[in-house]
Amino acid sequence: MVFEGRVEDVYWGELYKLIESGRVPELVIEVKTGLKYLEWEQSAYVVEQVREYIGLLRPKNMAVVSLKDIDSSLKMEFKAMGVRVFENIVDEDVQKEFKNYVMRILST
Amino acid sequence: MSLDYFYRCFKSKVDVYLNSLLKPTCEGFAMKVSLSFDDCFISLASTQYLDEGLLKRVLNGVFNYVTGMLEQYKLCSDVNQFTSYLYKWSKGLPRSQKLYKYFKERIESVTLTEYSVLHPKTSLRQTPPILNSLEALRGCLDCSDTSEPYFIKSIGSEYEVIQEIGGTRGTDYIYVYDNDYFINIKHLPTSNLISKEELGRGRIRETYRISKEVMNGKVLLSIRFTNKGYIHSRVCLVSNDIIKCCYCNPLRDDDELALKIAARFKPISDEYDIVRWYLDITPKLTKEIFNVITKSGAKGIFPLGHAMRLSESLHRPGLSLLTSMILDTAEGRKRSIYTKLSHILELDIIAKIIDALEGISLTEYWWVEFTTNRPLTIIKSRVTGREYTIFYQSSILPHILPGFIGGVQSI
Repeated sequence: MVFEGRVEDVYWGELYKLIESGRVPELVIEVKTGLKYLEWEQSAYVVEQVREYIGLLRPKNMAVVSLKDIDSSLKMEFKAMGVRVFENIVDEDVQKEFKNYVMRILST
Repeated sequence: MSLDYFYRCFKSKVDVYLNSLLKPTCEGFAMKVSLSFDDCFISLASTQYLDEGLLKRVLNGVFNYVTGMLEQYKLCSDVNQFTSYLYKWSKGLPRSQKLYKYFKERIESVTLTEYSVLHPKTSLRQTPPILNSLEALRGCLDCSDTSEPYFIKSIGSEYEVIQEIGGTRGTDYIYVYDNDYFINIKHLPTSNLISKEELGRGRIRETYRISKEVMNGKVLLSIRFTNKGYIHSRVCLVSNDIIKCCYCNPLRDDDELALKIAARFKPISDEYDIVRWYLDITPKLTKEIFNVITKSGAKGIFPLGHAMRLSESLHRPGLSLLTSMILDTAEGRKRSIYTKLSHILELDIIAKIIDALEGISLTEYWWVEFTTNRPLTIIKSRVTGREYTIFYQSSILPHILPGFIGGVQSI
């Protein structure tokens, strides 16, 4: 989670107060391995999780980054939610794309 | 660093991969060769001037060793397949790209017939391909302390063994070395569970009885986690009612040994798939994290409190794998490795953000703490001129807030 400017320590479990005061993050990234061993890697869970984050954090930009490929249906859901997806992040081209994205949204 | 040291550095890293319980693959081997070469070569180049002749000797030695291993292990359909994977993994590693170019040139000039006889020409010392993990621990048994530990005692014709399981805090796992593997006491075919006791915080004390006939002559490994997560390991030799146990600090302090031992833990189910992922991916990510930390001007990364296991993943990959493989269920091992891989990946993504912004760290260290909302770091971008605060796994809401979906509390 990236905020522009300085944010000092926030009490545990109280980040929402910062958001309620109008200080919203420039960028929130949900990172997934894409290895579906556990509940929190399952598509339905990830969608719900990202939806909750958008509602709670009201980020200006939200992205999902995955180590492995992401199901096309999941990608479409994210697209509909306005979430940018970067899959197979170990690939050099994807990394460049990701860095360009970061630069673009954090420099405007 | 001498040429000989370079070879030993390179070979020991690759051997760990080849000798682990994981079934080596062509791509995995190429990845390991690429990363190991990069790691060891930078140390060589930083201590010694490398003229063209010396560089060629280095590359030639590695070429001969690698082709020898390819032939011995039959990992790839041909050298070209290996080279294409080497290309993939050497991208972004300038030193490793030298190796790739050398391979390509050599392959183009070497016929298949010549390749088949390359192996005997290897200039690296050969070592037995299968590591004897037990030998590696034997040194620990030279201690003079012969006091009987609490976790094993002699009762009639049996030994009683106690282990405390359930995570990596306040627990003590007992493994027996049997048929070239470390096997948890509960998975020994002849062990009888006689009692189970809840200890709180999800921990369970299990008591087993095993016949002396089975246990005599066997080596036991006890890995105990303190309540804060620190590790104490003991190696014991069981022989005719005499149980000799010694603390084995090298297992904690020598990361290569820890990795070798971890690779000798018998798989319970399919957990080695994720182990392979972990071994393939994390070295590259960790390297990138540390590179960006250095570039940002921070002194390092500081995992605090409950981030003990993350600290191991970053600084002690061998020990990190051991603290996952010590768990007594396949699910526990997978979950543990998965969590470590996830945390490293998350840090790597942050590193990529800071790298993209060409960030100068305004904090002395990058702080990782799972129980406070302390920013990981605050940076100033060389590109935008602005400051940014970066949080890792911060907590949004109080845990007691009703109606909030399970698990979605931190990001």
